[in-house]
Amino acid sequence: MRVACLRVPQLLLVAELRASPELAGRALAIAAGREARAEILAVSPEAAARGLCAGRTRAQASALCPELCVRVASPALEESARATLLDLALGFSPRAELAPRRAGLFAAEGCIYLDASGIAALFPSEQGFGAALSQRASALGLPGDVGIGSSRLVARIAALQAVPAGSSARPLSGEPAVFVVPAGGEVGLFARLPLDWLGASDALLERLARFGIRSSGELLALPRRSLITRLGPEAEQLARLARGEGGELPLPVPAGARLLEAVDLEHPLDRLEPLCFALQALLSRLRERLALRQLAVGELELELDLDGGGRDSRRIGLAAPSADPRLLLRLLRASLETRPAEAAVVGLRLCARGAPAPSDQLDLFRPAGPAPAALSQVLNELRALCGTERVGAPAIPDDFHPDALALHPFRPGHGIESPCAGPDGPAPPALRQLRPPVPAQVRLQAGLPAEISSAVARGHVLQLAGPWRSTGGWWSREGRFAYDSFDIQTSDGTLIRLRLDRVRKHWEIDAVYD
Amino acid sequence: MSRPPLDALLRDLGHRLRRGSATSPAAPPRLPTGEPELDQLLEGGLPCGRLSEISASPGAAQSCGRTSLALSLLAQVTRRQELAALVDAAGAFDPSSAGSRGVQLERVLWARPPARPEARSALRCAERLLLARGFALVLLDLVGVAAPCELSPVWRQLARAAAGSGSALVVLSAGRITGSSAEIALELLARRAHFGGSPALFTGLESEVALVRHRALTPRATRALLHRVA
Repeated sequence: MRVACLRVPQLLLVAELRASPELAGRALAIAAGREARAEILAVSPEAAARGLCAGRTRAQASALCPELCVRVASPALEESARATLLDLALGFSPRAELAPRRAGLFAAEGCIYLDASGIAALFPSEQGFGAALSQRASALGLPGDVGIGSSRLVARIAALQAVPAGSSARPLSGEPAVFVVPAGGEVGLFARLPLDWLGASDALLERLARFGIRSSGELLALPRRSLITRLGPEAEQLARLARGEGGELPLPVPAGARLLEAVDLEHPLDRLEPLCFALQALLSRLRERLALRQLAVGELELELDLDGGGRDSRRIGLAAPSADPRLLLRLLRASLETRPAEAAVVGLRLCARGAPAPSDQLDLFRPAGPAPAALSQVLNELRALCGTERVGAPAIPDDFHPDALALHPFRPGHGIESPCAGPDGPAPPALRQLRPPVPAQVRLQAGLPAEISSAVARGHVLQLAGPWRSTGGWWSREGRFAYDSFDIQTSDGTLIRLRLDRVRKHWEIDAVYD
Repeated sequence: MSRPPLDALLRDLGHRLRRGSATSPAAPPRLPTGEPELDQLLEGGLPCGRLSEISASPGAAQSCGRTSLALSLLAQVTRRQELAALVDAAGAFDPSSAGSRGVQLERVLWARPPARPEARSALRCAERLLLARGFALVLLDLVGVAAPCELSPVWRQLARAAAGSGSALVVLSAGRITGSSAEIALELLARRAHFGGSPALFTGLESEVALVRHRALTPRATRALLHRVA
């Protein structure tokens, strides 16, 4: 197995810079909190050049560098950056895994492991693969170093070795640093490394130190049998690691495609425009991540953290997957306009369910309709304007109820189409349905309507046809219907379909001929 | 350019030179309405890429044949395997009527926007459909809905969108509302309703359609009869 590790040493810093690109090139520090004694977790190269380093307090850092911009570490931004690393890796390999967060010296770093087996068909060499991975990461604002080896541990140590000697912090831009450990080269790599890099327990390291064993090379020089006898199986496991025999589980295939972007706002927002501005930034980052995985957005979920502790959640369905950020922003805006948040917003979380981008094979022998992407977009916009259940292709309902309505998804060219035949002869005038029907006052003469008064038609009945009875739903109290319908021309010239609702005992006009 | 070289150039080009004149823009393609007499009146049908309006004559009853004419247009479009969109602000579309007139329903995109306030959503829907390009016909049904007046800039905006998309935009209204933005305006008036047979059945409606506006040409006739008697 070959594993690549992309290590972003300053993940907290670059996560902040992704959200606030205007801070690039400035002396910037990420602190653990807002208080003066909060620890500085990461500093930009510009701040490092002024003598700042991680581990100082916020007050000390500000005293050293008055122009320093200090931001509080945002868990939401860090989470987004880690998720972006995973998306990036899945653009190269189907198997990838985020490394767990580390503490202490490596607290600010982010690592992703991906399967680098069988890349020969796509890249000229492992070095080229690593360079492509590093370049793509830099383009996303996540500059990092790449190590490739036979296991996660070897790959991570190789990524650490990729940093130019003597530099404590990698510059945020520059040539990609790639370090490849060839198969069998692990012993040579580890020989001079201290044993604590292999993750040994403190107790074992202390016992080994008493013997004067501090590096992997010194450990491997010991006789194996004696090592097990004196220090137990843990020492044997450490020796196996030093030989590059990790015995790790294979990398997993991540399930699902849910992309989350979030931001904790500096100040509460209570107006729509600035909120949309913040959403636009989230959508822009989502689009980058979707592009990495060749996906579009199938569904959006927006969560707003409200001032005072409340939370507003809403789901925005799309008629067809779309990756157009302008359309997605319009849909989010329409949702917020329709149902504004109940309080000022202090945090945003935007979650997208990834779906394959729609593609259609165009028909050579039919007139060209809208492009598939344009059709998806207009369907989504119409659904936002009209409502999800009010857009589609009309259909004749499979129901006897006169008011039944059927709507199918609009997918021209899919499924069975009705034959291209016209009506058998002149068709009767079209009906305009009145939804809901309009109540009417009717005067009867010899059991038939003689005069009508309603908001639609008024006057004496000039001509009449009917009645025709339609009944159904008799098995249900709510769904039962029985109508006697008449076609009527009134003296004001209107042609209506009047019906007597025999269940509710009243007259109503359900359609007008036009 | 001095005179002798100009004379030489004119002599060399000879018969290939023509006197300059304003070229007339090409007539837009037409969508036949399915009513032969009306198509003859319109010289082929309603123009693509233009705004047309079908409304009732002033003082005419609601039942004048507008919707029947619109459905006939829909049937013509879908029968040619093209796509049509219907923005039904009034919520009055009857799929059974359309199906019986030969409309292929699966080729019609039906949007039912909320009619209030002032059909704004319907107008935005129509604009979006035009911007999508590719629908041969966008039918905007505003009968019985509070629509913008003739002077509203929205009609010029929609007419421009129609010109950009190449789709025929047809507005169905109670009375004329699109003003000078319409390329063609038709007004319908019911002549006679037919009831016959035993038992009596409503069999059809005779209407008269008047061409009240045609921006591009002066028509030879302005009226046609529509017979719809089953």
